[in-house]
Amino acid sequence: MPVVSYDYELPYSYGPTGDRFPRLTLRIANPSAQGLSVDADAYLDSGAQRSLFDGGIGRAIGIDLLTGSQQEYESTTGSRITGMVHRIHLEHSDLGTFNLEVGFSTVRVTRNLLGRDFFNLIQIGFRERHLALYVTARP
Amino acid sequence: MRAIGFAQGLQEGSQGLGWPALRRPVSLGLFGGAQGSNELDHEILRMRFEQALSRGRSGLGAPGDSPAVVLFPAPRRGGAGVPHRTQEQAWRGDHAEALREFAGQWVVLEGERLIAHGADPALLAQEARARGIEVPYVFFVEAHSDAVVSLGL
Repeated sequence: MPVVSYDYELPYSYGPTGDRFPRLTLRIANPSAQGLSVDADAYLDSGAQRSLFDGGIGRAIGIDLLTGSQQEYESTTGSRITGMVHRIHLEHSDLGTFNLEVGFSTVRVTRNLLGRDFFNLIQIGFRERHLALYVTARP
Repeated sequence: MRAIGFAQGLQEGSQGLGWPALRRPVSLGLFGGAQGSNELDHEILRMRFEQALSRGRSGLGAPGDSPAVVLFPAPRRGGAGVPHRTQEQAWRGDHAEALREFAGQWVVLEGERLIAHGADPALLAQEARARGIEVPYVFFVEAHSDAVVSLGL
């Protein structure tokens, strides 16, 4: 039987309704503009192939969205939105720093999503009943 | 040499505002690696160390065994200086009802202070920096309806 152990147990964090969600609060930094960063929440979404953040977050760290490469993102309804892909630093108080190319939406998205490209950098487990997630900061 | 490991992570404390206790890393390291531990952590470490010694003395190890090495969870801090934002998270949990007033908007929260709110997070971040907040914590307040189940995107 495979046994997996994780380095960190992290509680789900509070969402808009006071409910709790599997999210990480990350420092999102623009590597091209040192010092320009924001802290924001991102949902851990195994259904997302790639990570996608609201474009406003990108602009908040000084990214010129239109200089990135264009990527289409399709939701479960089949509707598509366009994102512009940029490499950023994601930093977590426990897990360390990750360099990742993420899409920044050209329309408002209400949730920043960490997709399987982020999952590819870590090991992660969910324990929904306990509202906790488990992470090891290596693949 | 036999190792005694503690599978449970240390309790970091409840943060006092409705958070479950945040556990420190469960990975095991040699005793002494508890950098940045607070007084509570030290007290827990001390108690566990004494418990382990007590077990060792009371026959946990067989006669002739090498001395046991007591292993403790080693706190590992990856992003030095990056806050957990636990105070803000707790505030959000306690003030979910009040936040509904800002549904559909972005909010900058610093500790328990609501710094700014509006439609554009980039402008809000700029405003927060102008007010001396170097790294603003920005989040979107989703509209809530009991009749709607939310999905990722």
